[in-house]
Amino acid sequence: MVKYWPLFFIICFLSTGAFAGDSASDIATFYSNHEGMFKQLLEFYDPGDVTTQGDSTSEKTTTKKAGKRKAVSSAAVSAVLAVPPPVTQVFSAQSTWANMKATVINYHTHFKVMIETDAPAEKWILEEDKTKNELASGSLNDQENFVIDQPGEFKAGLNVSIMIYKDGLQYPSLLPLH
Amino acid sequence: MKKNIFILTILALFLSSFGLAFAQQTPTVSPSPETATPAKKKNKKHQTEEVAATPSPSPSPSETPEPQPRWVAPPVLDDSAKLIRYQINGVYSYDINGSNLYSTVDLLLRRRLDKYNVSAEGDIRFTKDVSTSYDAGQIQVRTADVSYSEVWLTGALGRLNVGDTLSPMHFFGNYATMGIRRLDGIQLTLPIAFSFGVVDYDKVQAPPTGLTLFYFPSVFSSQYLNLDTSQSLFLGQLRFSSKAFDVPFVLRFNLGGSSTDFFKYSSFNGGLTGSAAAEFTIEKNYTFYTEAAIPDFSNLTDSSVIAFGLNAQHLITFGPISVDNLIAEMQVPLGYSLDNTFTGGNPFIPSTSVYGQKTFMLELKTRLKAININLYATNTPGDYTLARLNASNSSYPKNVPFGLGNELEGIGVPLLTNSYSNISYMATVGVEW
Repeated sequence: MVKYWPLFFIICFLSTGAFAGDSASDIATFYSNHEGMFKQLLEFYDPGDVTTQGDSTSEKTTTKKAGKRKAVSSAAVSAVLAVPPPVTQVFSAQSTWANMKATVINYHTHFKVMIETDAPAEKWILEEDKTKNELASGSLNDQENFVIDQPGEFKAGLNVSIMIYKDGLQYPSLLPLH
Repeated sequence: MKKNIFILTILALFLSSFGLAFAQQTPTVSPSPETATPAKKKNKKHQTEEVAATPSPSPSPSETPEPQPRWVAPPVLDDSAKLIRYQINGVYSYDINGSNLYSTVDLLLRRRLDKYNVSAEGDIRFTKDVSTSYDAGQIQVRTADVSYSEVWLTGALGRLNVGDTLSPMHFFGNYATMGIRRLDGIQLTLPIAFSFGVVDYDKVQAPPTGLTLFYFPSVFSSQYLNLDTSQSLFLGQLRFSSKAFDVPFVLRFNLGGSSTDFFKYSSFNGGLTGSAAAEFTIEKNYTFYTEAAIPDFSNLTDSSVIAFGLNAQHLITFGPISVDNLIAEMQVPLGYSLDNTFTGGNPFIPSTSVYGQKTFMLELKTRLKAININLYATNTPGDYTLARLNASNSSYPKNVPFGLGNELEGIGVPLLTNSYSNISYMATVGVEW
């Protein structure tokens, strides 16, 4: 049963199309709109099992061993979805109260900023460097590791100001992300 | 096989229809429970608009600005911004006052920095000597400060804990304030960045720098307090941090002055006072630090002093016992004068004068699972602090102490001896949560 999950997945999609509503009421139209994706998924089938089910979409009927599944590479998935792979950048800075490091992962639809400090932090502010426009902020509970998840594409020219708790007060420390 | 496919198909159809039915319920969630009735009306309107809307979204019209209310209520604080910690300690000390046995209860109150950029801290202590009485011996407000922080400024006022800011020393040090670690005043800190060099040729970026300004209306005890600015003390600090040979370090330069000449050889000499400190951290758990000071610039050689210290953390755990800290500090006078009241001199009765000597402090912090057991020992009579003033060496009334001596870290009480050859010690047992 488990090895039939891609077929199950396709059937779900077809069923969803049947009940979807105004833009996908025609199953044939839905399939034709996503035909490329279906063909990509069907290539990962064991062709022997597919042929016994009566599915004639696979062309490779004799060359693959039964029960062996093709690995899905991240490059193949990205190509299907037409989204570039995430980009990672590392920034570091030192203030007179803390050493800070930021790892930025740009997923293009959103980006994550994973920050490490060597002193407790109470607040962070994400802002644009030139305009000082505040994009987001958050409170922390004396943490030395935290993550900022911001929608949108990561662009150069951003700063993170971190309020470091030291000697009983909060001191601002700037971590440029450029 | 055909039977399995049939079952899968039916199951898929059922799940898809179920999922889609659930999804169709979510787009019109009410924004807030307090406005349930108007939200429902909004939802109905939204549903009506959704059916008639074209697939491509149209830009929403500009919203008309809402008029600002005449009065705005104070902000409601989130519970995560409030912090209360408790400490209970049993203390035994043998010092200049003899044997003492007492208990302390500390309430540490803190409002964390939130979206309003305001924070506050308070430390209230109750002490009780050993007796059958329920009465607290003392109630102390050790710190009580309010601060405001922006990305370019931190300001605080009230009773501030400035000891760790001014000096890296754990017991000696803080020479600019005569060893006092908690003072009433105002503090402003600005992070600054500057570079120097020749334009378009070569430019060197200075290490991260913090400029802090302090103003203390008075550093004397309440019996001698006078708020006419004659007892005020101004201090400024430049703080740098950087790395040398992969060893991070912090430098502090303190410079200040008082308006009135209260005591020669002290920082309240009516002139300049200053100190410089360095702190090096090796392997994260070992810190070496030093502070050199000139309390009285007009008596530069006779009032100078230097102190060293080593702090080793997270040393070892064997069974239920952990050794958390071992701290050793030494204070060495750089000038020797029999007129320096703060190192044993006495200009009024010269026959009782002594030269200043090296003094030390040892601190061992251990932990028995969750119980903190700390041991302290020192031979300092309070050199370079106001505790050196007594009935015979100053013209001020002496029926009450003029000031405190060096405070021990953690428990925050002074520990003094009556001569360099005697050792005072203290043991504390306590928990915090």
